Amino acid sequence: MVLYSFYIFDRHTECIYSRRWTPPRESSSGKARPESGGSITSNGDQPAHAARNHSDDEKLIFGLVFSLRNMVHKLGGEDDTFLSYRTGEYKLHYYETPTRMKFVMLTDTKQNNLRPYLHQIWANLYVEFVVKNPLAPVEHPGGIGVANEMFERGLETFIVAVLPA
Amino acid sequence: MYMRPRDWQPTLGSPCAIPIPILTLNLTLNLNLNLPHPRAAWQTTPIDCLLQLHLACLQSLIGTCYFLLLHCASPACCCPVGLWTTTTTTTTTTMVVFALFIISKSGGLIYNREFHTGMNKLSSNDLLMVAGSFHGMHAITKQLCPNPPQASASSSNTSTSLAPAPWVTRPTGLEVLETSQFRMQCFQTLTGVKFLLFTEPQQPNIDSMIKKIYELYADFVMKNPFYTVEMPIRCEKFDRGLDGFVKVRS
Repeated sequence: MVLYSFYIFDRHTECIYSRRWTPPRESSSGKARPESGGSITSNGDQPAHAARNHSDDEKLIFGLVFSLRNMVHKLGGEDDTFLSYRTGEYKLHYYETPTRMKFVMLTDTKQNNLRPYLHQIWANLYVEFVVKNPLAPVEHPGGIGVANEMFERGLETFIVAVLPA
Repeated sequence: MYMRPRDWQPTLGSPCAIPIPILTLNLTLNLNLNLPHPRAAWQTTPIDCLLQLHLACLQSLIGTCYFLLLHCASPACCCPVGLWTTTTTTTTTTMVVFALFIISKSGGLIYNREFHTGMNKLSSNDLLMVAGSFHGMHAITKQLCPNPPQASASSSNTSTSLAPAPWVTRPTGLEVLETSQFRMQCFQTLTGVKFLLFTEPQQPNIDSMIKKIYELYADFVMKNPFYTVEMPIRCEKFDRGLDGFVKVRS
């Protein structure tokens, strides 16, 4: 099980939380993918890829997920929901709350649908530690109030417990 | 190679439905209870043993013929009891293919075909828009790849190593899109043409089906002297080939 990244988008297209586990992009905690080879990648193999920064990634993912959702609604009807897509290299899982918040997770391709887990992250972590936090603002411009300590720690333990490496 | 289903037991002498991983095959088996078990001579309870027969079946490569292999269910004894061969005259399949889109390398919709109702009816303008936007989204899914494939890693994969040099290390774009009501499989050829096949969510064997459609495309569209590339496909033989292939299975 390889987890690449996790994003939360609010209803106004803004990324209010993002977290990556991929070594070459960010030196966050553990969870190295099997064939890291970060030096090979940064050797000008894919310059366009390296030149893009994180906020560009977030915007691309939001735009992509938004358009895929619209396409799915168009093709399958209004009650159809977009669940996930898979490429040869990774898989994107998607969950949307009734309030149009979007939870997106990128994993390796072997993972089954993670929608129930994304729902749990929303219900048990986001609602508990962000929505019910009296100090957090109602909206989260720039991600204010989301990445608090409780939420971070809860997310970390949840992922370790539910998605063993 | 054969698969041995765990809990499918034929009801002897009565019609029985045998789920086969690929298709659902309904056939009537009239088995004789007096089947001689090969090792009945030294089985203590040959009758019990016979009643718990397991069926193993495998589809022949042509797809028109099934071999049914009866097994004794006891784990200690796995001798085949009988071998039947049946053709698909009695098959009903559960293949539901909603639609096929073909998108040219520049993002235009050059072919669309609906086989089965179940998805929204869209006007041809909307279809063109969906195809065009999908073309863009496909490119973005390539860009987002968190671990670009390494040449060494993908060389073990025989199917991609046939591709010339730049394609081996290039990330593939979106391949499967899952929603609650349908599943879309996208197959991109090396020349950039995309085949989108819309099926029911839990549909096995789409890969082979889409390869077969690609063959039909190569045979009846690309070899058609009156077809200009990048233009909408109007080839009767292709239509009929698809009908013969998709509708026979659904």
